Amino acid sequence: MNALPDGSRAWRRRLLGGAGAALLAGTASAQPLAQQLAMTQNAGAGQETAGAVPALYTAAQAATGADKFAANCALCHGKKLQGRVGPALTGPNFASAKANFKVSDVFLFLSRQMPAQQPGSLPKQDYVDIMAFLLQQNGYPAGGVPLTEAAAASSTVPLLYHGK
Amino acid sequence: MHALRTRCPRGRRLSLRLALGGSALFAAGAALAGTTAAAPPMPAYAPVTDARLANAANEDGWLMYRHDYGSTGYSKLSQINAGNVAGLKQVWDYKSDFDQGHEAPPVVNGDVMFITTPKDEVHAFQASTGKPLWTYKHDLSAVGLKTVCCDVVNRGVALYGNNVYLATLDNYVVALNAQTGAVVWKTQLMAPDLGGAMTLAPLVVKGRVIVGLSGGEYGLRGSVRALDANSGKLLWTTYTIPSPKEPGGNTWPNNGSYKTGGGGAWLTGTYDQDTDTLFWGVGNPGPWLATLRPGDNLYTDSVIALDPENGHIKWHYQYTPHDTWDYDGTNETVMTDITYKGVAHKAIVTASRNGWFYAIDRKNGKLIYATRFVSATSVSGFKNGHPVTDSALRPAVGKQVFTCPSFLGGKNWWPIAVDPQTHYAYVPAMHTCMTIKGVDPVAYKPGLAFLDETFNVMRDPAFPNNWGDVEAIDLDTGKQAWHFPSKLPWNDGMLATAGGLVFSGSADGHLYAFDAKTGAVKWKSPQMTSGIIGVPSTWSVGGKQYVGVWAGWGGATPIWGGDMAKDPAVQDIPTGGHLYVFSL
Repeated sequence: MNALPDGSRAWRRRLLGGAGAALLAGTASAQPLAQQLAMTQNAGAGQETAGAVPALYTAAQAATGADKFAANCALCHGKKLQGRVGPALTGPNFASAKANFKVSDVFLFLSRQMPAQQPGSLPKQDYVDIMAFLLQQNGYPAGGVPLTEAAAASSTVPLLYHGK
Repeated sequence: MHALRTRCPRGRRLSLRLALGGSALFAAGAALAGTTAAAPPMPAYAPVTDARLANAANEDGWLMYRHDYGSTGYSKLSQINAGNVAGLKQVWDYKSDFDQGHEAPPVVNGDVMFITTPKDEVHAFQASTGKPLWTYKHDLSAVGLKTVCCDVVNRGVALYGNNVYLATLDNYVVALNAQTGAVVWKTQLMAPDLGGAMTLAPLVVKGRVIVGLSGGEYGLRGSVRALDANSGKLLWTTYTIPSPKEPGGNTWPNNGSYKTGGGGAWLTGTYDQDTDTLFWGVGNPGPWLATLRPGDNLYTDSVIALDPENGHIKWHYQYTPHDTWDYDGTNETVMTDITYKGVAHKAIVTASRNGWFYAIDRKNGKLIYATRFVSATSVSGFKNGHPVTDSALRPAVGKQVFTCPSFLGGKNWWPIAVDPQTHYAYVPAMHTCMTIKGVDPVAYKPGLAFLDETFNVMRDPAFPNNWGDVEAIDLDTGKQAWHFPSKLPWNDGMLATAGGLVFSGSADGHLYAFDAKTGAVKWKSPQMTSGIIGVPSTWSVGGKQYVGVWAGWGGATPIWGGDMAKDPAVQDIPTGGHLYVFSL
């Protein structure tokens, strides 16, 4: 039904031994994860009507956000945001009309209650950059104007998955 | 030793199944249809009757989550005992496809074991050999799992007739044919991702499948519910948070806050056959920050006594009034008869999240005694049989406090066991405190957490080297008899046996067998491939006793554990589900 979680793959890698690990490692390109994901997502976003999805952040923010996500969020939500012990943070099960999230709902939650190990403990700018990464991973295009904390905390833009 | 162990001839099994009525007829047909040459031969399967559940304490199997209606976690099996446990050897194992927390006990009827994985799979095995019989994979592909706080876990199945019952993360109760895994019925209690989820093992009482919803972190109005075991029809719902018109409704502000008041009922209850009463634990209030909901906030952090016929509340006892520290009252209630200060009591006991070990009269809900089993400062003492909280240790917006235990509790869900031979309770304890602070409230939003507090789990200064502990508590005094401190957290349930042993698994992957009287380590397994949070169980097939447990680290500690989760020794615990079964 859906892909096995990262950790499970890692565990299988251990079972497979050195050859299996090398084989699996070989399938990953040298590109940073954020870029790989961005390419996938942009392909999906490109299918949307041009101009329908607002640009709320810059590509540089999303790249920084990807690093911050990997360091602080991926353990629970999965390296590709696919969900693990915590929910997926991309896709229609996360962001849909039914879920009815605005960007500010998710940002306020993220910046006050995450990471669950030590909520609110990250620098404010990290939360903004992680929000930019989440937008990117849900098919929102990058633009020329950076996302600010004030904008993220007040944005009434609906958070809808715009990938394929 | 017991007549029910005898394998029933096929014709007899069928006639019993037919006697269950319409849906059982369907089930019988499905079972017959599945009996093809290609299907693996199913060991004989004796239906789980009311009489067998009532007498589960004397069965050779493990028929329900905590073994019997008293939730004792104690088995009368004694073939494996303090004298020979050193000879315990692995007889079979099974690796799951998941790297999340594996918490369920093996539930065993005859030679058939049923065990669940994260994300709601049920696996049936031949209990003696590990031969796979069937697998049920619940479809969660359209579910966001956004209102699941503490890992995508499941704590096991219930058995009744020829069915197996599962409660799921998207709020289904599913009845499966025990012999084929085919769905007999499924009933969804609420849409997923709006506040509720289910992780508990159901409890079957007199033809009713009893479950409770989780969601105290997500603005749920919690409930305990009963469904007809044969049809899946919802029979009753008892909300754990009263409306303003109901008794206890005046313990909430009259502003609609009861609708998002929490009170998840996320662990399995206990059933007292003598008084026909269910005991069910109720979780924390929502939001966590108490200044937003003045009042005692019933029935959060309480045990409620229910009539299983209609769900009516007979009485309640609140462990933590007006909670602001996430001290769920969901932990087990174990039935035991005690003598305290010379007076005999029919009691239920629990090791509460708030750090106190309670003995409560199970006839009327009156406190018999409460003693600290870890450092506990938020609840500072008792007056007239009710807890007193320290107002100085209540957080507010902009006010941070340091208090004990942390919100993960002196003990979390990992169930205690009670041994009638030693008359001790065995408690997996945690030594943590926390800083906790109110933050500017955010309006409740379905699908997001509803906390309004920030926090950090820290070491208890009184236990600078130990996150975990296994404690034996004398039931007649509430005093500690022995303990086994652990550098790593100890997040596993307890299994006590008539062999004079207490089994429980460590976070570094060893199943331990303690001498029940002294706490001496009589055996520890070779290191498993992951840390253990699966509830161990024991059963006997063909005159041979087995002990089984999931390894598979996860659950709340790595997610919410603050300094404990960031301890490199804790971060290094490998993940991955792996079921181990041992015998002599």
